[in-house]
Amino acid sequence: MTVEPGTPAPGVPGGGPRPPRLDAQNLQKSFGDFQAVDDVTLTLEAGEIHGFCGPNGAGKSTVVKMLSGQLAPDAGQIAIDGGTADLSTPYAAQQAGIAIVDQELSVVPALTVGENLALGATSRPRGRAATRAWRAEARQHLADVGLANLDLSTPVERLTLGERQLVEIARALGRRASLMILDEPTATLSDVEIDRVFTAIRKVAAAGRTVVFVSHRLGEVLALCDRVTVIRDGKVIATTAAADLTVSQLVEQMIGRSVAAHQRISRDAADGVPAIEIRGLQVAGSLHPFDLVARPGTVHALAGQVGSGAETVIRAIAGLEPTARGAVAVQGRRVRLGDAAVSVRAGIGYVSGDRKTEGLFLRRSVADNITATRLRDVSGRHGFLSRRRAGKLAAGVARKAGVLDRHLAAPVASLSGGNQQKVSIARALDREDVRVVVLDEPTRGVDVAGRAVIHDLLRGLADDGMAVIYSSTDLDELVDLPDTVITFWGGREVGRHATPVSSQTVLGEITHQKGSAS
Amino acid sequence: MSIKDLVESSPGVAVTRARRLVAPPRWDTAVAVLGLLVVLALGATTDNFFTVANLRTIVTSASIVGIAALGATVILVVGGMVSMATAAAASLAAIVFVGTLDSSFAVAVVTTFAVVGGLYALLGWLIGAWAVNPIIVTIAAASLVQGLVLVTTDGALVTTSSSSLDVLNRRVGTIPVSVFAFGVLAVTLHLSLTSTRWGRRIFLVGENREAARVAGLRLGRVVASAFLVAGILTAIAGMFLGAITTNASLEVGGNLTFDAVAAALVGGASVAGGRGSALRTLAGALAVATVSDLLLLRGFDSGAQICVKGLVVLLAVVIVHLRSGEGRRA
Amino acid sequence: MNRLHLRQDVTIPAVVLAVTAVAFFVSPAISGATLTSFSVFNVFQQLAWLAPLTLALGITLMCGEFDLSVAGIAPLAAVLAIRFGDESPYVGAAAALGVGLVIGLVQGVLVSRLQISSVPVTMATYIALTGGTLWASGNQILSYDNSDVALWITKPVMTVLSPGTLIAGALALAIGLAMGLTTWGRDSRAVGSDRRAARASGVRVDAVLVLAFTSSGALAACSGVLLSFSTASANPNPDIKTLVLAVVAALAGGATLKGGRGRVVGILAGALAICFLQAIFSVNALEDSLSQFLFATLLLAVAAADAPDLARSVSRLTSARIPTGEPS
Repeated sequence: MTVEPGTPAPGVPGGGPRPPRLDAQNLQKSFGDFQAVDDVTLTLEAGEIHGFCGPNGAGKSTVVKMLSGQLAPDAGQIAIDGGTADLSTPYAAQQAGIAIVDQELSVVPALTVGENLALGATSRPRGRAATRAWRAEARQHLADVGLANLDLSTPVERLTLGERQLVEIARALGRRASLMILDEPTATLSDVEIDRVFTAIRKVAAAGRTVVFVSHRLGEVLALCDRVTVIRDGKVIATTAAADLTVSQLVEQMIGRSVAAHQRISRDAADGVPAIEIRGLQVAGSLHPFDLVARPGTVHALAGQVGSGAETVIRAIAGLEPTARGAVAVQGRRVRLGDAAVSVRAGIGYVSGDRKTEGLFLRRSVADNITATRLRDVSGRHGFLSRRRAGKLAAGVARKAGVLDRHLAAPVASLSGGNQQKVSIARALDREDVRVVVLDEPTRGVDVAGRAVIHDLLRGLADDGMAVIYSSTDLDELVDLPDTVITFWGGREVGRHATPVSSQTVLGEITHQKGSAS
Repeated sequence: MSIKDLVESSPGVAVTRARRLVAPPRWDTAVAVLGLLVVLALGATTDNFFTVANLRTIVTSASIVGIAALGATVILVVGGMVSMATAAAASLAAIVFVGTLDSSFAVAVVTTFAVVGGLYALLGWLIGAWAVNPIIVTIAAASLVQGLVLVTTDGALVTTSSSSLDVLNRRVGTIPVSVFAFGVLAVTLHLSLTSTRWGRRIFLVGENREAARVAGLRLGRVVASAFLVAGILTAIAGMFLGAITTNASLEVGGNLTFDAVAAALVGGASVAGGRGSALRTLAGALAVATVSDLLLLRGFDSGAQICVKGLVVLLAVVIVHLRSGEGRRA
Repeated sequence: MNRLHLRQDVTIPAVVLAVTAVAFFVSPAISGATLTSFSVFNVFQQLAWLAPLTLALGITLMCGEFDLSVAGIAPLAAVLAIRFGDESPYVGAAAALGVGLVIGLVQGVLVSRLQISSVPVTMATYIALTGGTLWASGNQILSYDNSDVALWITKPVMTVLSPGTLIAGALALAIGLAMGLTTWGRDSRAVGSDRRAARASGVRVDAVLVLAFTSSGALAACSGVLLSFSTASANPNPDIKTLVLAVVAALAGGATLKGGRGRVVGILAGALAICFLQAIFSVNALEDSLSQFLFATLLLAVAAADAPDLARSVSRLTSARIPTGEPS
């Protein structure tokens, strides 16, 4: 066993040279052509709370997945307490003492709270006394995260998103892991809940265990963590003691420049018939009544975390929420909700945030994807597809979207995320009758260069007289691009601002940090 | 400046690794060629294999199963997995056809298509619009058809006095009509799937149901139309089977359910949907018939033939799965 | 706060069993037929082979998979039990059980290692097994010379039970205990409900799947052995009706096609309910085709009710409710 000379973290009793809790050297991982993690070296000490920050798409989640056995690195080593660790599967990582609260919820809906807390354990408590002890302990962990009133026999599918998140944190607490990783654990939580979670995390660290805290909420990171590592474009930018950092320094590390107030020219909202008029749009259980009138040439951003309702508005407009109620009219004409085919025909172009499952046909060529919504236009009288018409249409659309001609025959799966998204957008719009474009997370999984192109594309669409509405969780995208930002929390609108608006305001509202009344 | 430079100089453009993931080296072709060689070698060492009469036997036995397999292919492509009702539907077709033949040939054909096609279209609509589990719903349909036929015919054989049944048994030269029907239907279906709007919709829905929904396709209608075609193809197979036996009962369908799927799966269609071809199913039907014939000539009984068929299907399924790279852990 | 959470995998089978049992005991009074203890005995005789088959399907359904091959393993096991049972029934049963176990194991490994859909794999196995069964039986219905075995296994115990039913009951009890006392049941439902979340939570998904298919194969074999020993014969031709019965029983027992649900007790209750339902037809001397109708319609109804997008279209029609309380 090789012993790496580690620097003990402040506050670790004993001191002296001893191996760090976790030592990851030169991790690399790529997906297709996209180098998600380029070169990440990370050292975590026993008993420290380590913050892990970076802009969207920086590679944070990829690193976390490699540490927790969900992804195998392409290159690099990971050592735990000085010895090489088997992290080939989540189960193996758990055996090696790593517990994770995933960004994607990893509690199982069909099981009860108690079963979920025990999930992953290889044996069950034997005997009445042991069961009682286990239950007491489980209740204690639930109480630690503020769920003291939750019955262990409640099925998880009956819980709110926030409660499910807390159950998952409680499970990680119960693992007694030497390393606990929390990936964006607070996104769906309220202030009070967050305070409780922080207290629980500090208790874990005080017991000599290590915590990795991944978050966008920089104030929280500085308040909670001992050290902070910033990663950008798959590389480590810096690891700094939290005490030596301010929020603005941290932001600078993350974006690579100091933040200047964004100046943008405010546009006049054009007069005339609204492109889309939404009255009392609601979805049982996820969206309270919402109104919006969008005129041609305007860009509206709906800001909100997962489950806030922002994404639900977009999906409802696109006809993908079967329980949506309310009045939606495109150019004065009422649209029946709940049927995607109806929305498409009404002149609503929808671009999914989830290209893999509902956006594109990945195995099909770019040309086939572009023509999928317009099969009638590329076929002749007897229903035969015309190669010539399809080629012409696809080439035209591709040119507008900035996709190169020679990619038309390539399967969509071989394109980069940015190019895939360009194809989706171009496809959604290229109907003569499209007046409204709705997008869900327009730049998810798209690299920096691609983002700029897509933002220009959206702006261009508005200039051409369309109404653009999108939901996003990405702060830059929320304050730079739109004319109006509407913030969501807990299924309802909490604020509406004409730009320019500060990112602090938006962030505050979508994370529900000022005031707790809703 | 090479193409590679060109590509790499344009930002955000992918090539290389991702492309290779999509189109890996075609080792599956090698397996197919190897399989063919094994069959040929075994054939060469088997008496009476390479004779005109035997080859005609193979083609003939492949033809009726093959027509049903074309139907199975459409269902696989549209993402409807497998119809467990093929044998029951073919029997039903034979019964309806033979039962109505006394009026006229045309009436019998139209009635048969309407009954079986209608049943299948209904199943397809349920599967498309509601996402009903295709396996379960077709098992239920098969059982329902069996019950219905038992009640109406009381288990008796359905026969006809009409001689027009012989039309389907006729031979052109020495080749039975069913072989020509198989060839014509395979080519027609191939063209319909690859170059019409209908075929494109079938593939799109089968490859990605949610994306097709978002693209504004009517899932219920598309899947129903695919099943309608599959039902008509199954009905044609059933009519040929009825013509051979000259009377019809529930037994006519025999092992058609699994024989049809076997040919389609050996032809490379995928249960995951969006993958399959009428011409490759034609090859699959011929391959399965050849292997069965080979085993028969070498003295194996029908049990052994079916057993080998199952193993060939298993092999085909695994190869198609590995080649498509579906479900590999991300 | 100690609310009682009613679960569909407990409530559905309980209601179904209660309704069918009442119908079974009341219907003769209406039709004028006589109900004897022998009728009840017959119900449990049916259960002896249907229960293991339903459990076989139920265990894989819990994991979100569908094992079509059980319909092929059971007849093969029936044939093997008689073929190898000349000397001793134990040898025959062991041979049948071993083959079922190995086939299940191979399928489990294929499905979990290759992450391939279980439908084509188990269907190919099913085709191969129908051939294998014909081969092993010489394409004829076998009869078992050792008639003592049939007499013993169907000998009434406590009027309505028999050693056959008790063996099936013991099997179910063993599976139930194994699922309840270890992490097996919980892990199976986790794998069926959300495979990604289960994997991320540290459940060994591959092992759970292999175990599910292996036990499914073994249970299907048990079903075949119990049937052939009690009737002293084996029919090599699989019957779609058997599969329909088992699927209906599993779904009535609280398992769903989407996976993640089902308990051994519930599935057992589902199987018993189906036996009662079948017996209603025989006791009241109703047409056999009528029962086939009924089961096919039931299956159709259950499959439709279970369809993901049915809920979608129904909720589109009934979404008049205003959201109340906190959104989830």
